[in-house]
Amino acid sequence: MSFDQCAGICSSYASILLTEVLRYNIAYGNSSLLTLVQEFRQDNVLMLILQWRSPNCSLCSQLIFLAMMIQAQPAWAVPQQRWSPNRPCGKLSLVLESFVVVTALTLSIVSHPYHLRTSLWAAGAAHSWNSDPHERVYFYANYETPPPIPFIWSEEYVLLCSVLTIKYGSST
Amino acid sequence: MTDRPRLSVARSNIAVAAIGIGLFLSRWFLNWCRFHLGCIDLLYDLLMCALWSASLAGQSASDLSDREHLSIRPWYLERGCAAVSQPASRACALMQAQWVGSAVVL
Repeated sequence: MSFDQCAGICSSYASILLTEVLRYNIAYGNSSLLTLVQEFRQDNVLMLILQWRSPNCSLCSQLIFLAMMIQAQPAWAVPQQRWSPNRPCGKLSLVLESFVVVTALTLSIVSHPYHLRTSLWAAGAAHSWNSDPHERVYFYANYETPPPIPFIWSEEYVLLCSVLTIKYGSST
Repeated sequence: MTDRPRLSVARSNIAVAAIGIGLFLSRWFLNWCRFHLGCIDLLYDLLMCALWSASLAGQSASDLSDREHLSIRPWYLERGCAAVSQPASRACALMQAQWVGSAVVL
């Protein structure tokens, strides 16, 4: 996943968030991004269904937005979910989640440098546990095509994540 | 359609972790606004579950490029880090920690 894809996901998500907060907090106004389509008034609660007209929104964002519109309902009808973050257990889960996600991001960044994986590849080859990265030199010297770099040590192969995540950057 | 993106296990792990941070911040913000996402929250959990599963699969990929030295799983997941010297042992500990961290998040 490239950084523009990640930025696309974040921007789409921020727009979705803005839409939801606007729908809930009943913030009116004519924005270029959001258009008020329909309005319901039940008791003292207003429900807004907003249409997203951003030309750069990705397919997945549109699907999420469509799902949000389908489940759109007045605030008084929103059931209190058992996993609601407003409950004490929900707040505890938020605190735990903060530790977990920050730790995961830190570990990912620390273990990112490519020379770490190269050193692991070479160390495994020294003990005959996996292929040897230095053997590729002999293939090149004999004008032969070396075998593809294994996925676990590779820098160039497309990960399944890129298929699963939102394809944003190359589709616009 | 542009060029095929150049990706790796490490970069995709960072991207998945960054998405997880974004989701957490949004949940915190929505909690601060006293707002409930309802079913959408469950969808986000399923998405992150799929992403971290793919991340774990990528970290546990095999090395079958050498027929004489087949490696079904990376050696740092099957063996301890004491068998190798620095700096590989430090990298080994980092990779093990990242694998465990991914499993915990999942």
